[in-house]
Amino acid sequence: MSSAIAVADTRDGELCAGTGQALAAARLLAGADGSLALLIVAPEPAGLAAAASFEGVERILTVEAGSGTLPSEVVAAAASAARETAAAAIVFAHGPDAMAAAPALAVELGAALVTDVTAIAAGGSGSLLTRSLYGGKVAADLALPAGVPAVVTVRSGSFTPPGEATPPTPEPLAAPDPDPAYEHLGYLEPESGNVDITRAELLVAAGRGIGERENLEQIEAVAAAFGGELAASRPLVDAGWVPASRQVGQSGRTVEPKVYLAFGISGAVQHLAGIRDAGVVIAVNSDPEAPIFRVADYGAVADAVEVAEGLERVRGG
Amino acid sequence: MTVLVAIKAVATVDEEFELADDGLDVAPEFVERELNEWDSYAVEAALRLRESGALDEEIVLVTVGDEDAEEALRAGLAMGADRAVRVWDDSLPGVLGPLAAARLLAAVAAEMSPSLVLCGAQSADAAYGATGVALAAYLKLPHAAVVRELSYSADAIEVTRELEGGLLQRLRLRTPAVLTVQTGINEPRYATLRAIKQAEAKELDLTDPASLGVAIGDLPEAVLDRVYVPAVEGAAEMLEGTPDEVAARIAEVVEREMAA
Amino acid sequence: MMTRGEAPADGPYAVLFEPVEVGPVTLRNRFYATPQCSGFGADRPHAQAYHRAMKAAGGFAVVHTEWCAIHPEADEWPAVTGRLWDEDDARNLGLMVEMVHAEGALAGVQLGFNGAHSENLETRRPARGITQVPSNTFHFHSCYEMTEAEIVELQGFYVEAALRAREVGFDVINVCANENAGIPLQFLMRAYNRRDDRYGGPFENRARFLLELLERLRGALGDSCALTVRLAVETHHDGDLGMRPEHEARRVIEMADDLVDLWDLEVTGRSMAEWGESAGPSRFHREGYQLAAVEKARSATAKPVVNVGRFVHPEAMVDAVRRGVIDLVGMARPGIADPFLPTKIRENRVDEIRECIGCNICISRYEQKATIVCTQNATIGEEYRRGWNPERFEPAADADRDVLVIGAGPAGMECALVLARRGMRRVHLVDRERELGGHLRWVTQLPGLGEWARVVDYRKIALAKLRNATFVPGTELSAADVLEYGAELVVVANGSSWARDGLNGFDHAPIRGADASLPHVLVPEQVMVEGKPVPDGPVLVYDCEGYYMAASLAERLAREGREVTFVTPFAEVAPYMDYTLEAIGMNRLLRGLGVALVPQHRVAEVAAGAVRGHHVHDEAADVEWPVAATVLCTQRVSDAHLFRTLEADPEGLEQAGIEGLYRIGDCFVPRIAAESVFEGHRLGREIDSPDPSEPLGFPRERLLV
Ligand SMILES: Cc1cc2nc3c(=O)[nH]c(=O)nc-3n(C[C@H](O)[C@H](O)[C@H](O)COP(=O)(O)OP(=O)(O)OC[C@H]3O[C@@H](n4cnc5c(N)ncnc54)[C@H](O)[C@@H]3O)c2cc1C
Ligand SMILES: Cc1cc2nc3c(=O)[nH]c(=O)nc-3n(C[C@H](O)[C@H](O)[C@H](O)COP(=O)(O)O)c2cc1C
Ligand code: SF4
Repeated sequence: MSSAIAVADTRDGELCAGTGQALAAARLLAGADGSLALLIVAPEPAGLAAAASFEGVERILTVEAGSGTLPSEVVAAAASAARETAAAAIVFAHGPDAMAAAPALAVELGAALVTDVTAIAAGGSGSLLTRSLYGGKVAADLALPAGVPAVVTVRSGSFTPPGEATPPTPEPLAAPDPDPAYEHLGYLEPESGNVDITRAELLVAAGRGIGERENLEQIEAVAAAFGGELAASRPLVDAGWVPASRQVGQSGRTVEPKVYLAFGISGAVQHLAGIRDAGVVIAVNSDPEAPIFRVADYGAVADAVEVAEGLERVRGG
Repeated sequence: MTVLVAIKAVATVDEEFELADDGLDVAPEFVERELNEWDSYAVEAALRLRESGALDEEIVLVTVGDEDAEEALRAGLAMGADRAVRVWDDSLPGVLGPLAAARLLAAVAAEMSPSLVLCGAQSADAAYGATGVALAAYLKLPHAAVVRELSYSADAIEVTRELEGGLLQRLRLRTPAVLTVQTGINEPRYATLRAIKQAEAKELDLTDPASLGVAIGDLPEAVLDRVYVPAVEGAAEMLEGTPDEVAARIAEVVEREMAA
Repeated sequence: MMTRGEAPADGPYAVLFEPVEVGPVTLRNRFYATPQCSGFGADRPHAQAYHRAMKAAGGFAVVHTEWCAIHPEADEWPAVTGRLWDEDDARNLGLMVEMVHAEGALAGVQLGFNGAHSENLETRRPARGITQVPSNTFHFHSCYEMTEAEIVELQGFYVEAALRAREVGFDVINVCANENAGIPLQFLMRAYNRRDDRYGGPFENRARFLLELLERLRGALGDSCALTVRLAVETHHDGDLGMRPEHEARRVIEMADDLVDLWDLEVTGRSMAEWGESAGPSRFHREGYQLAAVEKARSATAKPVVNVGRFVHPEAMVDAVRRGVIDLVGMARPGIADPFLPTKIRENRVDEIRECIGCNICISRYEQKATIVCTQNATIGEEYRRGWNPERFEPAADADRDVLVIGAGPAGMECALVLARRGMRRVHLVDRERELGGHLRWVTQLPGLGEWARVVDYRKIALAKLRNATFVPGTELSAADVLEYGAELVVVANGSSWARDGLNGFDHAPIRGADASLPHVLVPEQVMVEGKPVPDGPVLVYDCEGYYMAASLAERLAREGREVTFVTPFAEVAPYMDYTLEAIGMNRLLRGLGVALVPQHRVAEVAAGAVRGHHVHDEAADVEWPVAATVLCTQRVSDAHLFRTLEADPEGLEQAGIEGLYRIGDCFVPRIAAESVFEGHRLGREIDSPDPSEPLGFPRERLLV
């Protein structure tokens, strides 16, 4: 029987979506009857522990960290938790915090390290971990070496979080000694009014299918209503309706929003080249055969403008 | 003293490609190599620290890679680095795990005791996003990952890390330290043709794992089982109904994903 | 003759590669190169043949000649069309047939007779027309009214020309009934046909000429060639004076359908001068702009239909075919900009297509009685005399050199691209700005010129694929920097700027008070790039250049709600646009936007609050325009300083190891972008010639005594 630890993904006194996904991956690595612990390293972990209502979590270990959780604190806490539970796997949600902690933890524990994992298949002799290479052109399966623990980080959206259950009583662990090599100086909130579409989290993109220039306002209204930025396929830039800085695609910008909402865009390869790294793609197109539906996560065969009007209404516009 | 910049000659794969016969990588004829984008920001950061007078040290590039990696080293030398070290021996696997690369780089660093080590936050090809921090751990040096701003003084370095959604964290680290650099921290310079020619004459040393006293086989690296072209993603989930119903479903998805 | 079909490519564009039967011949795919003037005609048989063969090599299924005059009474000289006056003309065109066949395509010929519109300046023959009404396109020029016997005789001219064409191997014989030109179309239209005999009056009579003509051609040709008609289905006349797709067009198509193997359906304007409705500039027409009209006539025929409309995107082509509007995709300009467009689609190399930008510079050269050029494709028209193939580049003999190209406008981009393709060791393309494009970066922000950005897009994508080419943005180089840069070859392509003092070709001097450092005086860069505010109130745009800049700025300002007065010494607004077929539309547009158009006037003085000037032919006729701001589009001035400084320092060049110093594009002479692209291309092709700054000679097709 093996055990695994998921390290909670937290920000600002709240659990983030990565926590459940890390737990799901940890469960796969621990096996159905392995034991699963959640480690919370945060300034005030008790509140977080109470909110960690995930099915299948046997222990919740908490470590009180300083106001800006430092990677050194996470590594020290995770290392002692891993030793205490004899964990075979320690799982993080991939992201800037995991990038700062997971590799150091692997070195510290003499563990294997596999990052940005998108799938885990439990096999006979061991698990196979899938991750992508070359910008997603190729996938690679990796086998974990025997006899050592593994530190794993998992890609957002790749694992389904477990169901809800009452959290077990948290077990506080000793806070590690502060590492004098680091000092947290504070957080800076994101600047607003950013029009660089490569950094936008929500892009509302218009293509030739929106028809008339006037309809662009409708698409802009949707972007405004949902706090996104306007983007466009090239024909609209050609037509001078949208500045080139908002063009997505091979000759435009490569974007990586969480959500890409495309209205009346057919999905030509040159356009798709720009959204390969987008999170969720939602396409509205009147043609059911439009190639964009092959890469979209959600699709609607509908009139772009009518749906855009609907969206504004939904948002109480 | 030195500023060490660890770089990688990343592989870029053609639009159309085939896999190698052993099924462990893309066939080499469909691959080109270039200086990892993130690493060019790291080189630039080192050059700027020197130009600003914050540091007056030799800037050394180091990479683990075969002969094809030399072009990337030359590109960094043309930007203005002083010399380069390449670690290789033909027993090393083509696709190196994150621990092995970090361990070898750490061994090179250990011989130089640099006052600062800079790396890219991730490589464009394997995208482990791990090498710099693992390297720091092997060296037992403080580190910061995904750095977007930095200022340096002899005993401390202040950095701004990029977190998700535009949130930033400001940190002070004791030096020597290891930083992994995010794109956008600066604008990497373009080398002039003259600098490119001069770079051809700069010192480029070759060393191997044995000379560094590192046995890669001892590292607990995950084992590559196979690579393959991922199955085309399932067809989109189609949202049906009147435009208003479709809109309501879309709003739901957008709100859910943006909150994630 | 080869009629093999093509193995259809897999994937979304496969339908475009299905063979299509057209009467007795089979087209290997759906790519149909329509009749298109080249300026080579029958008198320059080699240039003609190599030009057409390039499209055949590029994958078109059929390639046509231009309009070929069937008889000396249809003489458009000095404009160059093809001719089939006699066997010698046919023999010269026969070389084209041979070369097109060798590339696996079919050769088509267009039979033309323009009636009243033929000036016959070379033959000095009176023009033969339907009704004695002067041409509305050529000044002071009329025709005689044919008798019925002369009509029958004219049909005979067609038959004889067709037989001559068949004799030299043409596979497709096309009757021109489009663009107000072909007399069969004129017969159909009340606007031209006021006869009251068997050939005039009711529609059946007006259609008689074409029906009889087709019967006679069919009889003479039998099944040896495909017989096709290029018909204007829409001529934009009022009421029933011209062609309407759902009326006259449908009727004549139904009446003649049995006699015809294919219909090439087209939209055109009210007069011959308005063929910009057919060869639509991107300023006014988007891809596929004729489909809506053609769709209305389409169901009248059971035969294959072709239509044009600046098709460059395979998605749009597939869509038009799938929807059943067309069977064949007609192209003139897209195949000029990229003769290899079909091959690139077949091989899924869509991002390598040099897309037509719809500038109509190709047409301008026909209108200027010259040979064809293209903004996007520098090799067009140079296939024979310079031996250029747009897709093929020889390794340079001096490829071990590093090149510095300064300025990433059309000239610099093209030169860098050609040099990189020729394998120069390293090519650095350096620009002060962050993006490629030079002046096109901002010119494409002018209303209607968005598609011109394709000049940049094509080169941006192509350069990105070449490992020996590097674009260095945001870097301004002084002469000293150039010497330091470390290149063996230096190409200066840093462009030009609009005169800030009103210097112009009418006064040969600056204009009094014109000083763009003052708040009320502006030049195009200040408006478009520098963000200098245009003071509130009425604006005067002064144009001494005659092409798009002033007109487009006037349009932009008017669209922003400004009161605009457009003053120009030319006899009409934007006369260069006559050549590009944009002038009529631009005049209509500016009038519609309420711009006051003041041709034939010169500006003598620009002051705060008022501009003073006078009629060009009457200095006493003073005018004062009370305006808050003046935008000067008087002339561009080459940014020659960098080149001149370098040139003046031969020792510095030598010490720096610079072996060659060249200048191309607007920094040499400000011209249209097509000439800059050509110059960049030419230098790239000839970088290893004995003196690259001096263009190599080329064979001229002339009679030697
Ligand atoms: C060299 C090169 C570079 C290029 N670079 C780029 C680039 O960087 N970016 C880019 O975007 N393109 C680029 N393109 C162009 C690309 O090939 C496509 O032409 C372009 O992306 C198509 O844009 P679109 O999807 O908006 O238009 P279309 O392909 O015309 O698609 C319009 C879509 O709207 C749908 N539609 C129509 N009416 C409605 C309606 N009422 N409601 C909903 N849907 C409707 C249609 O079904 C169709 O699918 C490039 C092309 C080339 C050759
Ligand atoms: C330079 C040039 C010359 C042309 N000459 C002819 C001609 O001789 N006969 C003809 O029927 N059409 C002629 N055309 C019209 C084209 O065949 C075509 O109908 C038109 O350009 C629209 O198609 P496109 O959008 O594919 O260019 C010419 C077009 C161009 C660009
Ligand atoms: S000159 Fe302009 S319109 Fe003509 S083919 Fe070339 S790009 Fe197209």
